[in-house]
Amino acid sequence: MTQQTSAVSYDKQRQTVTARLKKILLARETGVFVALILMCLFLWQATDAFLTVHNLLNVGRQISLLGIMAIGMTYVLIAREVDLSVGSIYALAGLIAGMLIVAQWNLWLAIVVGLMVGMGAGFANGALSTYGMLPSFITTLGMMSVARGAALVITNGRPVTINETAGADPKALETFYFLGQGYVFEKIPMQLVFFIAVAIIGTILLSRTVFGFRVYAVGGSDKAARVSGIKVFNTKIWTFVIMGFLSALAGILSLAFLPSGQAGRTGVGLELDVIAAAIVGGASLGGGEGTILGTILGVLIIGVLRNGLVLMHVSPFWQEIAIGAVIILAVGIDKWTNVRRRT
Amino acid sequence: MKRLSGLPILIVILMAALFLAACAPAAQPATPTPPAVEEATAQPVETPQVEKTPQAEKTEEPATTEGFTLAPAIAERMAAGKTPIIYVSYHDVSNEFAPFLKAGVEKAVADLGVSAEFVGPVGADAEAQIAELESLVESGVDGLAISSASTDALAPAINRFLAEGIPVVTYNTDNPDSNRLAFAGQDLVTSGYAAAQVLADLLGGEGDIIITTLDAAAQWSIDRETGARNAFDEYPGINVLETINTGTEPQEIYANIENAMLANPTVTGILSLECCSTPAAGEYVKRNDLQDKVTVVGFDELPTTLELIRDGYIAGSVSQAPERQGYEAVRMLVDFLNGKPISDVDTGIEVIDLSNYQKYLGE
Amino acid sequence: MNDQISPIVELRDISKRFPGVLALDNVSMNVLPGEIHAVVGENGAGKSTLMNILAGELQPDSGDIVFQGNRCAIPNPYVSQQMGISVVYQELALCPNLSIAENVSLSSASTSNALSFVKRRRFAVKAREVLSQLGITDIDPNRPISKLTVAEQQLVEIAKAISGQVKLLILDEPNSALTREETDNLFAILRQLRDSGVGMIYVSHRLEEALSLCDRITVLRDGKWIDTVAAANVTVDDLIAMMVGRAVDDLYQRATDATTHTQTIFELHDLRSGNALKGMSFALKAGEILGVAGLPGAGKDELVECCFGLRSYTGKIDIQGNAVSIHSPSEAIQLGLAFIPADRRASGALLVMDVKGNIVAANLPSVSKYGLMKQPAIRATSQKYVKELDIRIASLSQKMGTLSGGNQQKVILARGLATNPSVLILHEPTRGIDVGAKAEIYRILQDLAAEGVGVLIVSSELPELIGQCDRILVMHDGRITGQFTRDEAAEEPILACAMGQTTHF
Repeated sequence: MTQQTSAVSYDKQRQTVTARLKKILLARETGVFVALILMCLFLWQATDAFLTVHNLLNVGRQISLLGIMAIGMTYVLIAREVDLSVGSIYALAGLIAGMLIVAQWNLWLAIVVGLMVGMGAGFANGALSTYGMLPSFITTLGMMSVARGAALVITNGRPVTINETAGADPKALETFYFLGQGYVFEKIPMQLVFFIAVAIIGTILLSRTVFGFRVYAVGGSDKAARVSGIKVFNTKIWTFVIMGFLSALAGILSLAFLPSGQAGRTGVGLELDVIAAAIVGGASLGGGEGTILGTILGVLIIGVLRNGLVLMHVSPFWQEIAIGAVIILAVGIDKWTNVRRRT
Repeated sequence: MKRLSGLPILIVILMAALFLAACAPAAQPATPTPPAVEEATAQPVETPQVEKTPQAEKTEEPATTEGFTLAPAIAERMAAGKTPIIYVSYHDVSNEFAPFLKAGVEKAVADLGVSAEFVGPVGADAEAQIAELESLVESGVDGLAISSASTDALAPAINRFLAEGIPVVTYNTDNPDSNRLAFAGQDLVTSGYAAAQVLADLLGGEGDIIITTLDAAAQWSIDRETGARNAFDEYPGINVLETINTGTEPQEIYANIENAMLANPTVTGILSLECCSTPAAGEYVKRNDLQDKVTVVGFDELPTTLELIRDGYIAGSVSQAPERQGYEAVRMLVDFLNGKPISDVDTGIEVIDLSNYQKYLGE
Repeated sequence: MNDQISPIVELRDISKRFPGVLALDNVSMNVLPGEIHAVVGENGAGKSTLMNILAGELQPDSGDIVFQGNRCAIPNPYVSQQMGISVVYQELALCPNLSIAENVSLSSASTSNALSFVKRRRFAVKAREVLSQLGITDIDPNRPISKLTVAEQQLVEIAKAISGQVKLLILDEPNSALTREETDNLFAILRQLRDSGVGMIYVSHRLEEALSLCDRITVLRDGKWIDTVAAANVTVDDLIAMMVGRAVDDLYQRATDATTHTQTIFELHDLRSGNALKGMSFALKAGEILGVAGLPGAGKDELVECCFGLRSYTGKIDIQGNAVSIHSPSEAIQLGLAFIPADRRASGALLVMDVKGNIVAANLPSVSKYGLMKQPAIRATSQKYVKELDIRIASLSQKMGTLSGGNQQKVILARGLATNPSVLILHEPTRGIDVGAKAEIYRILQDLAAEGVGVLIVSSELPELIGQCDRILVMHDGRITGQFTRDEAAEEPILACAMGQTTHF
């Protein structure tokens, strides 16, 4: 009896090792990762400037805000929804926080208000897309316009600059600038630190918690999730709130970095970059699929590509073509070579 | 066996033909009347007269108002002493530049006692700009001032309004393809030339340069770039490496400048063609301590730009007196409606640098 | 069999390998003109692979297809259609936004010039012609598909299939969603088609029907051809034995004796909901298996939805003697109810999730702590039910979508059981499941009842209810029109109640 059990468990173990290896090889992330490595190798050969610490940290910083938002988008996409309003929420929340800092509010209070604005907009998106029974494509398309308009109204179209001349408190300013422009260990930009922190928390929340499980279940089949006793609407609303929060966080960090923003330009067109990054990383518009790791790789691909094209002196108009082609290829290669779907 | 049903194909071809036929007259204005003004605006770029001192020179050329007849309804209203209703349409009311223009319009309203409103699309959009203008015309207007989102798209619309007897002037961004009555603003080729000249002189006539612009394909950008490259061509030691299309999103602008600087380590000068990549270039220089190595020259007087000039990170910026552009647009229309002759207004070129930034910062 | 008639199609030694599976292993069969040839076998026996090869969706690795005496290849569905082979799939392939006529003419739309005008009037004439060929004259061909019942849609599907010059018609479980009456109607039409010389391949899980409808029956098991027999010479039990490779105990017989059930565990008092339920009262006792029968539209769907908080109701529900109100599935689960929905793919399975996720989905609090999922607890719970219910999977991380219908249903059953329910509500528990898995699910239900769980089976398969239940309630028009004990239960009186002709209490 015992002998038999051990034989079985040995067999199982061997099976799981091969199964695991197979799983890793077949995982969507692997394909994206290989593509990324190939791209880096190519750029390393083709340019002198690419593989330098300075440049790599630059790329890290340049993708951070996109990455923070793409992580939020991963949640929304897994729950089989979409959020087009992220660029506008990014602008609105950032500009509100900025204006409050200029108005000499307490720094942290101003930031919290900015984050609350983002979460509020996200909640509105979520509530309308669930209890309001509207498709999220429509609600967030509307919110995209409403939030952009609100930002223009409150700033009156003028750029918001956060500095002493504008009236901000120098002490608060120092801290605020540190959040956006500072470095830890002399070299690592704070934006990248925020991105890494959000990535870690986002991964744990999605893959280890009950909430994360519910998000996958809801995206897989909202009927089946509902029958399993999962509160579908609440889960979906939470994904929008997270998205709103992260959009606002990125918007505030953006203002702390530059340190000025303008309601007509800040975050315009960002939503498509954010969705593209998540999709390249394996999230599916059909819901139920996607991981934070995949999204990070997707963000890296887009960031490295942008950086590399400039380093290689590719004309700006050709850059647009290259980025579009890579998005289609990245998703296409996965679909065309997908072995998993057939078995 | 394959049945070729020709009728739908025929209809498609017919529709295409009709469409082309309809477009043709619009593309080529039937009676182009090249007036004196057209020649006057085409200033010879080879010999621009730019000095570092402020200069706001008026080119008093009589505008061509001959082919234009004021709509009887407007003439009646003016004769009755009604307040003229004027709309000042800007091609993107959400950009940084818009508030300056709007302030000029508001000043004109206060000074001249007219009803003038600053309108336009959010985000440069020719279709939206035309649609809004058409609705406004339906609601009744006595005069229009237009800064075109696209020369090609707006020209037929402007000509249509003129044909209806509505006076139209242009400001900020001219529309030379249309029959507009007059233009108030800066000549884009000339201003590009001036900015490049400032940068080249500061560099002592030699160095590697990159040009940054929010939208390399836009008409205003092409004009300024043409002027700038003309100027650089006069300095054999100056080498323009490339034009960077930064996009309009602030983070994107900064990242693109950052990448471009890494790709071109020999750069000693950055020429920005507009308001918004100027402070980003200055900010890049500031953060990387490059003020002794890289000279930045740009455009306009955004607060951040002025502060970066004050702190020595931007060497110079070309102002185009935006408030005056807004003001003059309204004034020209009021004068015209009151029967006075009007002519183009050059709002001039003024270079802002360490010696005079305070004047702008104070405003 | 009439050997001198040459077959329409003959398959010779067809093999087809998928990664890891030999789906077809030297299978040979033929179909004669004017014959209905059933292909039966458990899920995974290779039926769909065989059909897909004939439809041009798949290419065999080896073997020959001989069509009307000529060896040929069927490289794609278009060629298959040109040859005169039509397929009616189990999942309806109609465009719900188009009319009957437009759907019937869809295949002609795929072959003609894209810019030619749509000839709607000719479509309608053609559709009427084809429908009358099927003996249907009372349907307006301009009605949109979305307004039709499932049975009507099925007929349109067949009309679409025979609208061209069809020589071989392949039917894949065409009646899985039809009532008995509708099925009879369908069969009459199929026999009529047979008489006109069309050869048919009929794939079904319903063996009694295969026996009554078909001329010959081919049995497949694990990709191998087992036998081809004349329908007149075999019984259902013979077929089952051939399909599973061993004799199976009579499927529809409850093994344990009906004990006396005393404790009422779940009780409805005058439950009403809209127009669908007009006052339902009954009591389910612990350890009892209670069946609910009724025709589509009788209110069975609404009844289960009310019981599980998916639909609002008036009236009273008692659970173990306490009055409760159920507004949502999560409340229902907390009150000790578990629900296995009818539409497995849409409402039951989380297809993109893995097996262990599917098993614990309704029972998250017990496998988590401070909101964090406890992977060991998840594995342990899943492992337990995989073993108990004998769910056949490669690993707990296998995606639900890759399992067979029977295994999916067991996983969903495991999800319900993981919540330790006192009442288990099943809606069409064995729809589209092969015969072996069916028997196993019945065994599980019997065991649960023996442990004291109250089991409520709502089903449209009468043999299933008669075989499994201690008591059967019959619904008609939102009311209970009959109640049968185990000894009284028989198809005819139950159907009479279901049609509202009589009552029986």
